[in-house]
Amino acid sequence: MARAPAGAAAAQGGAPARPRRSWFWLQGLACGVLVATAAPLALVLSVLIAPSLIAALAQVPQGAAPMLLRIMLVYAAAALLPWVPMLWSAAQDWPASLSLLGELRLPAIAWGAQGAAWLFSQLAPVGVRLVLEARVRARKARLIDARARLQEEWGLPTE
Amino acid sequence: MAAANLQDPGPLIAGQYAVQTARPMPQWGGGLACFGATDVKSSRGDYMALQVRPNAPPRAQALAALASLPMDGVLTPLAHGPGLGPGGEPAWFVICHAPVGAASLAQAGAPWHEGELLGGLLRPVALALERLKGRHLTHRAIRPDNMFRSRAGEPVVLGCAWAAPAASLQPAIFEPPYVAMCLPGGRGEGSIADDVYALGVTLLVLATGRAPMAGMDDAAVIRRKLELGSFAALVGDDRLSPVISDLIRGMLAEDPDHRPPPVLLADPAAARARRVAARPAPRAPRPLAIGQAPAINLRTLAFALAREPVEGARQLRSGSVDRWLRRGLGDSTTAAYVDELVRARVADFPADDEQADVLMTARAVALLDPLAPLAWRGKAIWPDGLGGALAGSDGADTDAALSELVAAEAVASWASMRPERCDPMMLRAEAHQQRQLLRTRGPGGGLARLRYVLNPLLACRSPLLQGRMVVRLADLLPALEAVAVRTEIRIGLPIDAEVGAFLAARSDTHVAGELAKMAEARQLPQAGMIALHLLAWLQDRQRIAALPNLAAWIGGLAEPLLETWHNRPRRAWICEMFAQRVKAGHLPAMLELLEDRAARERDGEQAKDAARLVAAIDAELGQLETAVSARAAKARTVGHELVLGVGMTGLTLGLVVVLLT
Repeated sequence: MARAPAGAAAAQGGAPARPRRSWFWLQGLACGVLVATAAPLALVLSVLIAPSLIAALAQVPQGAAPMLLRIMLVYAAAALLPWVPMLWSAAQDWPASLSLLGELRLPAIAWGAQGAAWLFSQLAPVGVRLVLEARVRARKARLIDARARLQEEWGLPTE
Repeated sequence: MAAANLQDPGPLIAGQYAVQTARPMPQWGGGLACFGATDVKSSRGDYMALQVRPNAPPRAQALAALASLPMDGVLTPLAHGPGLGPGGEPAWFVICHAPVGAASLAQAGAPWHEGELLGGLLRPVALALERLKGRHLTHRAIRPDNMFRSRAGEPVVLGCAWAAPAASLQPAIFEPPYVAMCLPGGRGEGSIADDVYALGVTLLVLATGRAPMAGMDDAAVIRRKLELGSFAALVGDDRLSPVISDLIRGMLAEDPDHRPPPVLLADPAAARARRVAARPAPRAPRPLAIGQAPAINLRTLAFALAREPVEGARQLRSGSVDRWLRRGLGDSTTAAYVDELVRARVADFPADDEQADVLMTARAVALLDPLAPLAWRGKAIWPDGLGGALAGSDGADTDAALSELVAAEAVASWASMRPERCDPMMLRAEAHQQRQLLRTRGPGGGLARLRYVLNPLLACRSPLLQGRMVVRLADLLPALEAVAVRTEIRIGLPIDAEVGAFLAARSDTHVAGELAKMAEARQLPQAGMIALHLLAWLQDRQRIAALPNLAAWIGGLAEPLLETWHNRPRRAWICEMFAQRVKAGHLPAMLELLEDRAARERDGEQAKDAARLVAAIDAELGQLETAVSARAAKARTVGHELVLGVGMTGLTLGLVVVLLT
């Protein structure tokens, strides 16, 4: 699943890799437009997805930040889906936005969903790893058994 | 004599004749051990068994020719085969009718009168010789102690002459000098004229009542005959009747072509009338001394060169022989020929080439006396007596001389010096063939092979056989089976040089090839495999049911080859089957198991496949060991995608619910 670097793919004789386009400036532009046109909404959203941003920033050195960000945002989005109309109407002006954040219920739901997403993203690889290792152990046992049988039948050297 | 011991017939010869070693009959053996024998089918006991000496094989050609068609006037062989000697030792016997009630002529001390000699001796023996001549055979054992008659006036019967090489038992006085000087076994079949000579000497002995030249050794007898001529040397001052004298003179002629043929001797008057004038050989006033042998004429010079080849060669090369021939004997023609021989030797070979000297001397002997046999390093033989000489060889010196003689194709050189008295082309071809056999390496060739080829009834001399009598190929496997009972003998191969030579000589040509391969085999199991191949072929051919001891012997040698099977279960199965077949003593079945080439190739291929499979398994195991981080990365990716998938599903479901409500 790990994507091979473009140079490596080229060196391996595959199709020439296209240069990756950076959407970072576009994302920055979108954020800028959002802050300029709907600053209260931007504040509410920033507060609500703050755990995702913090967790993603912490994962930058491990290279898993985008995936973790995606997961946590998806979970946050799924949890906040029933409140989207209210959020849209309340985030048109500063007082409504601040009162929404002051209630703490909405941030608690958003942060709880993101915390759960973070926890799942930490636990799921461990579970998958356990399954994979079990399969490898079974495969190794079968191979060692087959080798021992061949060795016994044909008198081959042990190693 | 007819009272045969039928309770214990002992080993049967040809399945019919029982040798009774408790009943010795030395007076009829003609020099060989002789015993009474009984025909167990007819219960008749008037047979005798002559025991063949170990190194003097019987005359195969004569036995084959006479056993089927007996003839009158001579004790013809009826059968021959293996038996047990008086000491229980294995022996070969030739069965003949016994001259029951007859005594040998040697026991008649008084001189015979002329009528008895002509009617009782000369005529019946001449007729018997004529019958032998008609079958292209010779007797070569005519002397008083091997001739029998019942009583005075009865015709004489010739004794058995088939149980030893031709003329090998003849004293020197009964043979022409060119035969007497040969090795006993190397006298060859000769011609019927040689039998006439022996008959002439016998006539003389019986006419005078005593043996001439008594007390002289063989060399002295031969030299005297060569000096004076046989007639003069043998008769000396004895007085003979004119008829007998004339007959003996003709019969003792030096040149065999000058002797009367047997058919003429049957009519003594006619034989007496036939006289061939022979010019007396010129004598030198002073002898030429060659070693211990003085020469006074050409034939004694040839004899001296034959007996003293080293000194003879020296004198030939120094020119003293040439001078003696020119000045002493006045024979410049012969001297020129001898000189030519010496010049050829000096020109063609280095001065220190000893074999060139030997060859020059042999050619000089043939040149000086065309009647002389082939003389080589002091040993003389007739070409057809080579087999007997090899069989009767008294040691390494004789073996070396005969081996060198064959290697140098000396017979061809000798024949080329006397082409009018032999067939040089045929002798050259035979000599070449013998040389090829001698040069064959390994157990299937060499002097041993030549010995067995030239002696079809010579027993195998292998020490492996521990004295067992193996004369025919059919006797070999039973003998090996018998010796294989002793486990301590099973160290080496059951085919040594002697057995190999015997096997090659008595069987087809492919055996020699197998033996050569056996000699080249680097390891004992491989050699054992080839030996198994040969012996299995022999067992199959001779339809011998079981040879368990021999099978165990050779199975032990070939067993390491079973370890070369790769597949262990199959190897175990083959080992078990092999052990069963060894126990059954069936060599072809053992060979079949070891030589299953298709199965061997399959085993090899499968072993390679197994090795490849194991290598692939090892590679995969290694890969599994080293792919821990890759698996961790994969687990993380898959885990994250799984969690994301669940989230996306929840989001989608939430969207659907929101839109519907």
